[in-house]
Amino acid sequence: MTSQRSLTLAFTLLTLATLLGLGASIFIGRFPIAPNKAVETLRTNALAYQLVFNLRLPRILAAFLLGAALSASGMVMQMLFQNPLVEPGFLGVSQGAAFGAALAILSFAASPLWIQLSAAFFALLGLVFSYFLAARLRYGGWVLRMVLAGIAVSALLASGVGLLKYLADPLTQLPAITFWLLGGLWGTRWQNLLSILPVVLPALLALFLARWRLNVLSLGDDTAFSLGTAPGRERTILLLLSVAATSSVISIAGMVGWVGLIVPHLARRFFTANTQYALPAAMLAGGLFTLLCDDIARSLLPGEIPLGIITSLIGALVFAFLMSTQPLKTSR
Amino acid sequence: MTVALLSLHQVAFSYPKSDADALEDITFDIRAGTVTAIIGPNGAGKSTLLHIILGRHIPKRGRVLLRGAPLDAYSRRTLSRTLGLVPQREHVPFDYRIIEYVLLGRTPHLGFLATPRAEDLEQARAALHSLGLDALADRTVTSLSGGEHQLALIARTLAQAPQIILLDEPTSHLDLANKKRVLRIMRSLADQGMTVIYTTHDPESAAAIADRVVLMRDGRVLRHGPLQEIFNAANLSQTYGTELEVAQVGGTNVILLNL
Repeated sequence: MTSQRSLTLAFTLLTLATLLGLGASIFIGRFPIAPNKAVETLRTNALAYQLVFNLRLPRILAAFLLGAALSASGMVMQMLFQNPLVEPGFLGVSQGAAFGAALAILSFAASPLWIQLSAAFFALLGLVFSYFLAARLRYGGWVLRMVLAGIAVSALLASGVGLLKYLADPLTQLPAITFWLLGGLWGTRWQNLLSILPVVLPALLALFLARWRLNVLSLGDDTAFSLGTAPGRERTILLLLSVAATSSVISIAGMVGWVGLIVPHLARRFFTANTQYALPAAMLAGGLFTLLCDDIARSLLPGEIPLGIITSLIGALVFAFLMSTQPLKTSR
Repeated sequence: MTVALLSLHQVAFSYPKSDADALEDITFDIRAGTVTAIIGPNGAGKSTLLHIILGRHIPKRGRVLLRGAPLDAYSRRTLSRTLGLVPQREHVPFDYRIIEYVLLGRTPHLGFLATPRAEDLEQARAALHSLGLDALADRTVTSLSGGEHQLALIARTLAQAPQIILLDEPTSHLDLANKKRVLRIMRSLADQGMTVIYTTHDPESAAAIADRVVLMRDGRVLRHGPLQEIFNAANLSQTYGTELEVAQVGGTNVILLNL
């Protein structure tokens, strides 16, 4: 392939940038540590040690995993639904998680683990509702029915979130809900990160392994069938894997928008539409993008800026730039 | 007599949630290395029949035999290496490069989660080359004209290396030059030993290259057999439900609408 060399170069650069980003993030924060004195500071200063290993490190890894999972899921869903404008939470998953988190904040005195569990549970419930509603709709093909059902279920859950916000104590609970809805990783500890790893890592690995098959499925059921796949079954499995990854990371990070929509577009632009390359690129680029956004979120101002605000701001700007410098290509 | 490559015996099919039979009592044989045109008006069940042969739709009654054995006796993998489909329309929302698009045809020859090897890339290039499409390799799907897209789809199916190629309305949206080019390719594939089966609502594109024709209407086969025997005014008029005339011009059958 003529562009094989440029793809290799692009992957090398992206990997280096990712490693650099992961490394540099350790030294970024409101407690700055000079890189040249890092080892000494960590040995002598107990507070610095605590901060880096118990707060900063899990948060850095969580940010990377969050971005990688949202981007990979976003790309997978775009391929499965043959629609480049789909984002990972659209099947009632994001609003389900929001509802679950708000409910937990109102009823369980906002213990972080309960919020996480409740968010993950209702995210999956949102998907299940969307699925069964789609099966009952009497209009359109599979893709359209899922999209319509996703819209309906999301709206239903969003109204539930609205109700819970209305009922919430405006001094204590409402700020907690609002902050969760804006997304962020300020509360991430090792236990949160470790609790989602057994789901997120195998799911991402499976999606990575299926990367060629995603191309085939993106051509539609008839073609995918004639090329030897079982479109219905394979699509369901891949969809479940991406929803599992998405709802897990949302459960610890809240609603972090735009990553799952914009990064797949970027990845396709620089690594071709072929998922064989674009999917791993989206994982790395999504991880890096979210990590950098989180670095800004925790260090730009004296107080924490919700991560979702940063990702939406930068994501929307990049999106607008991309779409105005390149014609939005749609198929005939 | 030798066993037919494909043999349909009293096949009936109805879509889920529908009482009416989309296909009823379909019986005919297809021999290797021939071109078979399935002709009929819109809604006659031509595409449905093509998907029955592909194994995508399972008949409600009757049997589809491939080399004497029912389709479900073969694995999906074997079937996908034997039967290739050129779909009527393919919605491609992602801008694949043509070489990758054609490379996707190699999927039945790859392991379950494998990615293409160097030899698959060679096969894809060979498929493009055999249709004179080398120049398209680095273009992208959305940049292609309708005719080029149709040719790319055929190249992808050739990369699949099937013995039987099924084409759903391959010429229906092409201009005359592209129509001629695609029909020539289909004929030459059969001359090289491939079995070509295609649907068309345009009898003239059948008259140009088909060895045998299957006339369909309302989910049933009205007539089937060699082109010369079947392709006449009476049969076509009955198939399309309107008065048609057939004239011979320079050895080719031409349809006169007889307005």
